[in-house]
Amino acid sequence: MKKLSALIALALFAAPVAYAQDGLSCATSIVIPGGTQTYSTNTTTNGATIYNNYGPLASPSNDAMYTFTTGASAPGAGGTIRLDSADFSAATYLLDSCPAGLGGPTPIGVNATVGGQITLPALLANHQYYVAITGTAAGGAGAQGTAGWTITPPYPVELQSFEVD
Amino acid sequence: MNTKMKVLALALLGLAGYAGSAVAGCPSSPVPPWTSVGALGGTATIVAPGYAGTACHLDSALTGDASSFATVEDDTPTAEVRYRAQFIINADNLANQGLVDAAYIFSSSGAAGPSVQLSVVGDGAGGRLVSFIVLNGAAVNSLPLAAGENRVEFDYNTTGGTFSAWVNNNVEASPNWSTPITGTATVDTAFLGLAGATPSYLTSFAGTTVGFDQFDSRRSTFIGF
Repeated sequence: MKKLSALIALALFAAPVAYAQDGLSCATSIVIPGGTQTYSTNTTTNGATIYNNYGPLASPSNDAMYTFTTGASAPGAGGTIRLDSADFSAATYLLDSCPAGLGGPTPIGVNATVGGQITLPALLANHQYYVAITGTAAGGAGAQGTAGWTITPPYPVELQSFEVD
Repeated sequence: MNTKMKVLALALLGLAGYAGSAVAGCPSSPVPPWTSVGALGGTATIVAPGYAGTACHLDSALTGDASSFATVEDDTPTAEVRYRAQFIINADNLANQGLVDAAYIFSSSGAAGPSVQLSVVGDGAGGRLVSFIVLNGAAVNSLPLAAGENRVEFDYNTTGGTFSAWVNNNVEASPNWSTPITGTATVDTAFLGLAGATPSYLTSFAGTTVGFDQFDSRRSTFIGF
């Protein structure tokens, strides 16, 4: 009974969250949990102009932003972000920051080939990274649609258990 | 290398190419007429022949990481609220340049930070594009480059609130792209050459040269050719 009460209390506490993780800005990036995750991202219905460019890569089309944070141990190179499918000229970019403004940083990993992937470089410990789903410069402003992609992070899944007695 | 823009006032009068190299062979350094040359993780060298009838051109190549650059710098602009520039680029050495293989080829900045940046990127079909990124104007677009030498020109006009671009186009009244801009950042410095490439560019094109020539900049007059 105590556990149920605690869960209800937690749910009530969590309900009035100030913002959603909708992927439409850096601040509201969708959090990628540990372990392999597969997404279907529609940048037409759930995208926004977060950046006009990622370094030298022009990006006039909509973006959707995801994020993950590494743990206390710095992951070595490895892990992938694979573009499984796309009905537009899609690109996936790995960013080591997500600063304010319309000029985005140069990605530290890039891919625009369906079936291709970003192999993650060595990452910093306790660092927040971002994955942008967007269109290529060649695709122009109309490069938006649905992209399927899979991230296999280099860090292990951290199983967490909470219990309120 | 023919670098017309040493002093904006001279360029406004349409004067004075840098003709010394045509007679005496290529100079060992682009300084002068450029303010300086910088290469960190790359090379910026002057080689013969030039483009469109000149004796020499600038070859820029990157060999390092994403922070690498190989550029020449012009510090003669002074808080310019309107800035036109044109140059020739030959990027034929970037064979099969991919959709995410990109590097800056030009950038300008002022007291408020970067204003205009141009980059080269693959088009996914064996060709390449020049992208115009107006950082302080919330505008971006890409236009195709042809094989061989390309004349790229733009007009960054903060007082008129427009940005226009021409690629191999000598008709001022018909730019290939024109868009309203809202930025007010001025231009104090310009860089020409490769810089800030993506990881895939550096993997595929380390040491590959891209050629530049005939840089010209003015305040208001269409440059053309």
